[in-house]
Amino acid sequence: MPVTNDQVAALRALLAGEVDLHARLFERLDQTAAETGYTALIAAAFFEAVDRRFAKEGTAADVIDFVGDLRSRSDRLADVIDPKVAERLIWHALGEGSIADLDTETKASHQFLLLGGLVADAHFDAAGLDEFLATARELGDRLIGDGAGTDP
Amino acid sequence: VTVADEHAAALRAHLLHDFDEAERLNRRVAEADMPGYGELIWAALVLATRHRFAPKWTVSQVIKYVAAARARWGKDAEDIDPRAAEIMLRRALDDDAPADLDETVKGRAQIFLLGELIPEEQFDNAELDEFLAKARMLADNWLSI
Repeated sequence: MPVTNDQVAALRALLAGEVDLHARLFERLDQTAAETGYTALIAAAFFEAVDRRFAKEGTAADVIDFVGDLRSRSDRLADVIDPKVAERLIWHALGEGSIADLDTETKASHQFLLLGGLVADAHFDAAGLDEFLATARELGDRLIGDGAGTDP
Repeated sequence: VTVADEHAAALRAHLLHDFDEAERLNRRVAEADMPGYGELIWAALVLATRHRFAPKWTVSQVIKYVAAARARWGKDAEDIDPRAAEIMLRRALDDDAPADLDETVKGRAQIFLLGELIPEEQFDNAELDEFLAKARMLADNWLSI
């Protein structure tokens, strides 16, 4: 089953900083479908966001700085984001290294938090966020089609 | 047990980025199996960290410091576990940070941090000797307990 409108709307609310709306929309999602669709959408959005931020001119220093900066934004983020895991996920999204040893939950939770930071830093306007999510949705559908789950 | 001259010389060489000499001395210290080097390194880190961050510091500052230090080394910093480095700094500042860390990971983080903190001080030779003497005194104090 491809990514649904409801899943895109839920992620859009979250990335637009509308946390309460996201909670309401997320609750309404078909949880079985979300396990595939929403997870793939988040993975795809993460890959797209990493690509836009780092693919052209990103250095190792930029990746380290981004993760450090994101973790320094709150005690909670500092606790829950493992910096080595975060850096490895970013490098993997850029085509370097393996994350085969990371479990699905660790990968998904880190992608989710890193995505939030990347999108916040991108300062999208409404149209920009829609365009970003449309690209992520296309990639998410391809991931589901490939059966690749969260690890394209 | 007290810190040996070889320990102080090895750490001094490392802090002056004389890595060949540091390695030669490290090997000698390791071969002689003399205790005290770990205490000396930790004492130096405690003093340098407190000088850099105390009395007012935040976890956010520590995270940013470690990230900036690792970023300066780029890919070469891959062996430095950032969380371990943060925990070392926080513990040096008397924060009760959780520390279920491998000894090698801890040691590598400590040496890396000293290599960053000390050059920032821009010590001349006499000041570096004074700093090392203080660290040695602190380490001897721990070793005597």
